[in-house]
Amino acid sequence: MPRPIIQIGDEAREMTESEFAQWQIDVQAAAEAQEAADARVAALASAQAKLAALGLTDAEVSALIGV
Amino acid sequence: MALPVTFVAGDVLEAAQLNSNFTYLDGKGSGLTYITGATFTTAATVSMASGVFTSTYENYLVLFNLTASSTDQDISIRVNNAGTPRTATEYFGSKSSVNPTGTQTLTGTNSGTSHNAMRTLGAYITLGAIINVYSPLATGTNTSWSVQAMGAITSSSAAITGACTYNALEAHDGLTFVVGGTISGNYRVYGYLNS
Repeated sequence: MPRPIIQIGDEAREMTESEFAQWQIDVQAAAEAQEAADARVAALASAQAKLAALGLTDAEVSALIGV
Repeated sequence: MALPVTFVAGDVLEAAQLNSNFTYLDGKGSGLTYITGATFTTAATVSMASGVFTSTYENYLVLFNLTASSTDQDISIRVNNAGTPRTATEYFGSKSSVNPTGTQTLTGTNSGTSHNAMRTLGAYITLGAIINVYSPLATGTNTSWSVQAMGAITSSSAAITGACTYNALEAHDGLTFVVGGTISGNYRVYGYLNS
């Protein structure tokens, strides 16, 4: 299976072994960062829903949690 | 003769005045000078060639446009040293992404190996960004940059702002963009006239 393409300036070519190894590390790190960001968004939505269930208005929820 | 010579209706243009105006304008730089650019197609990593940032300008503007993205993915930025992207854990920055309902998501880069700077969606959203790069050639101060982009957060569109620094007193001559899938688009680099 060909390795991904890297473009340097105007030259596009297949990644070298070392570039591919670094890229795999980067992909893993990006996936973990996105997972963390998704978790924060989900936690925020959950908090908003729970506060709304307690009877708070949208304005009151916004005042409480700042969004 | 005060230069440039300004003519009004009825004036007689003399060759010497015209030549003086040419001389006056000769060598005057634009405030923003195009340096280089490239178009890329289905690339997983896009890197500037070595020597894009030079001592000619202190600060640089990079326009980064995507026309296609293989999937929903983050776009990370690295600085290049002699054309090679730096991967040490010296990136310190963050980004703020605000979706159309006003929900903000903050993403920090604390001792990271790159700056998690932008995000784009594969299905229907492309990305446009401006990146200002500050003092990349100065070895007495860290290189830093700021990002303004229209991109995405998770699976919706978002206005993105962020900034980062690479904590090393060394010169940097370009940027590298890294994604997990592939991207197509272009970038253009401009130098800000120092004075």
